[in-house]
Amino acid sequence: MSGKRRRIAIVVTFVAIFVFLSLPWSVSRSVKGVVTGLFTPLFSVCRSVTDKLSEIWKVTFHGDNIVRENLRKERELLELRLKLAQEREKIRELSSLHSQLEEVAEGGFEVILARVIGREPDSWYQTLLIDRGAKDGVKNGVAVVHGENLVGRVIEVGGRWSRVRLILDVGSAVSAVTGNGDVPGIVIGSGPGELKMTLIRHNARVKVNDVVVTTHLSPVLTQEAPLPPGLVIGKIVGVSQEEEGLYQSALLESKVDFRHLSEVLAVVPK
Amino acid sequence: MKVRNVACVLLASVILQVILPNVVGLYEALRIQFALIAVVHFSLHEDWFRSAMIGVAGGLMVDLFSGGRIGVYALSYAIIGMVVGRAQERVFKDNFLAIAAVIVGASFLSSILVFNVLALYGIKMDYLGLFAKSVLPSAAANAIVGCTVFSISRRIQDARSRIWRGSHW
Repeated sequence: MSGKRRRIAIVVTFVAIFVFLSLPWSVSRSVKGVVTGLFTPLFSVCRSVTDKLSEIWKVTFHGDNIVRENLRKERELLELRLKLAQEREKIRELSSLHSQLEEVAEGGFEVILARVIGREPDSWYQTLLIDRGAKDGVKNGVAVVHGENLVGRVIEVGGRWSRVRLILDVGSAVSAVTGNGDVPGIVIGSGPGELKMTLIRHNARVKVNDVVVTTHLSPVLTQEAPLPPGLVIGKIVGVSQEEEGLYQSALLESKVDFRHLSEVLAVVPK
Repeated sequence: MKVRNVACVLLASVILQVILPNVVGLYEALRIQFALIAVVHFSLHEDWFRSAMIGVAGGLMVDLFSGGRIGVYALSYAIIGMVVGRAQERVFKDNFLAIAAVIVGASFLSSILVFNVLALYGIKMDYLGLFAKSVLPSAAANAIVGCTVFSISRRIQDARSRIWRGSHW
């Protein structure tokens, strides 16, 4: 190819890339969905192989084959805790009679066990792929948990797969309250492994070791669906007060070991 | 280099990049960028135009498996391919330090490009924090893995050329 043709080809390529970049998010998502759907069986097989190998390793060297049983118990425990959290929320908000709360409390949740089959190829985004999708009952926007701790939210759903945006992702925003329920705020991802609770009232009393949980209210800014109330997001490890600011913020630490997540639970409203 | 072989290597690299963090959870922010290593590897053996095209292909594959928009990595890897393809004649390919330096440079350049593209979409991040926590360790890991890949690839090439010479002697 001559030098002139090469230069034209390069210009055309870069223009095509800019067209891709300016595609609407929905188009981008559906294109990626097709490709992810094609490779999901491969990811699932890889996960099964590594799971088997790790099981053999554990049984051989540690005699530890009760991990799966623990996960089942965890699932049952979570269902009970969710019910309890709903009841507490109902009592707390009874005076205001929120119609939305009633809907959540009466509806209940179904918990779907899913395996993590893939991760984000780079560290700019914080997402993971799970092997359950629309055919299993997973819906867009539902919460994904590990034990009683919030892991993230489903952002893409395919037939037999879903993509979960972790709470650590910079694009994640979750409505939250402190454990006693009187200090609201928004929890956002603020870099790899970091969580921050923002928009806390300037005069609100928040302190280190306070537990932060989800609330049924959805963030107005992100317009995302509400999450089940009472899921643990993390524990406050630092508070930063601004002298003249309207709000204060807090650094959180999640109990979830995001590096070693192999199985999670999708909490789907019934 | 055959297009089919390049495509297969790039696809395998991206799949490995998706699966590996799931199996080996060393450090949450550490990601070995196999696709970037593959792009640099090919670019050190090709001219700037082919390198840019290989970069586009590799970047698009990463985009398709990532949680972000399509085109972010395609743009970044295309520029990296073009830069490395232009500079390849000046790189002494027998020296692993030089190769490690190229891979580290490519990792830094990729991070700067991706950071700026994301900033254009309003995704704000603390670059310095991210650099210390993620970019730097990932670049170091890329350099180690990249040099190993180069070493293996060179041995395979040497073995193939010995077989070829033997059959034509």
